Amino acid sequence: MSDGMSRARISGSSGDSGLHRLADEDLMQLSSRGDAAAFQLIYERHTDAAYSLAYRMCGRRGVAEDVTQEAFLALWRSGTRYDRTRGSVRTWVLGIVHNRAIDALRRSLVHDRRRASDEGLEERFEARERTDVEAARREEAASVRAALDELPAEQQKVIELAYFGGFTHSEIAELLDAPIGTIKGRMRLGLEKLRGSLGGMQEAMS
Amino acid sequence: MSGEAFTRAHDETAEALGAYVLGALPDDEAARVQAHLGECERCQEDLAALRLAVDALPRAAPPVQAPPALKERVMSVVRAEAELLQAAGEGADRAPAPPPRRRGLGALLARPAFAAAAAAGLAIAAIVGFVIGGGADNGGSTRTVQARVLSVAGAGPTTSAALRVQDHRATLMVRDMPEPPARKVYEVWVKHGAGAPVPAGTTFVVRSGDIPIAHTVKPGDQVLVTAEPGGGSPAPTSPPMIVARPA
Repeated sequence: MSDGMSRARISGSSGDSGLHRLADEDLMQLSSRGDAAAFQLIYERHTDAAYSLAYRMCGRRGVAEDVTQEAFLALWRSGTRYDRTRGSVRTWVLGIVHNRAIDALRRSLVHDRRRASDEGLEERFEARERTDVEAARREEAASVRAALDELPAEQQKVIELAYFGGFTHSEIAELLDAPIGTIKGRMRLGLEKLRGSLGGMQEAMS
Repeated sequence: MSGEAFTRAHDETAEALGAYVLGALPDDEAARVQAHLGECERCQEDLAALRLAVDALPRAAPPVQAPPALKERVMSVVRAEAELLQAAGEGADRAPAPPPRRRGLGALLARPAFAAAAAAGLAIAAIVGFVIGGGADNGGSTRTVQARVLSVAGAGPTTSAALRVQDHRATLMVRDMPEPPARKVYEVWVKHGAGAPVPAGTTFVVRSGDIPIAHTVKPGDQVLVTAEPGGGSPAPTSPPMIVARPA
């Protein structure tokens, strides 16, 4: 890594082909020292996943764009706080997106944040299979969705409402007309089952 | 904590851990869970296992392609800030102290003012510098450049700054700046090449107006504005809010 760090510089160009060979974690180190080119690669590698999550949560293109932009700028400005021992850069990025999207959802009215996708499917990746990495990620996504679908419906629902919808347990309890204790129990049980069915996949993805 | 209190906190945490890791707890309940986690290894292990499941959830989002224009929106800000950091140089925020080791975002982020500003998600208006006027005026060359306005708390959509330079005399024109922070003034600096910013001998508190800069400004210099304690500082103590580079 010292070789990568020695190339730290401030730049707006991504023309440094050497950067492309660096792992995310090394790019984050360069980025935290003000290297815009290194940050651009981080952006390019993770922006679709980030935007997908933001869009899934917010359901509107404009809000999803704002959330994604806020998240990446927060990443750029707080790169020094990234700790590789706590997970991959991708997980870190998606964590920031999730927090920002929750903020956006909670700023908006509950009724505005249903997941009605108001812009159709034209942006979807249906015909897009650019690289092996992309293909692998699509497989991962399919695996996680399948694992979610395997959960009992009431557990899947509370997890999705909480994670993607940004609802608190008391809001979910009200929505589903169930006691808060029941909602908490479903969340924990559902996550434990999900963890079990994903098996070792998580380590492979990280 | 008594054994009974610990057991009660443990039971509460065990029940709430799924909601906690999903971010679905209200603040007071989340704080209680956090407090218990600090003293219960078993709950920490349970949390780590649940977190693995939660970390996988974003991958269940149907893949959607990010709009290509978003990249330029993000990167234009990033490039402007990278340049700003370079412009701020090693001397920024370093009063008469040991020599700086390296420049960069890491150094700036370590500064409380910048970190606080970033954490607060302050308005960032990155206006790419460009010449908006110029030409001959009484035989002298007058150039006006739009300035970058960055990290100004309370900045609105109409906040802007520009620099007019004639014969090395510069005037900073600000519009709709927010009030300076409490007990602070805006101070102007001139930075020549890679040198540290030097006080321009000019401070201001007006929100809109034309501010003559006492220091000469030559081509290649940069004019910076920071918030400083009343009376000004010998060296910047906060990150630049405005950067202008005369053409």
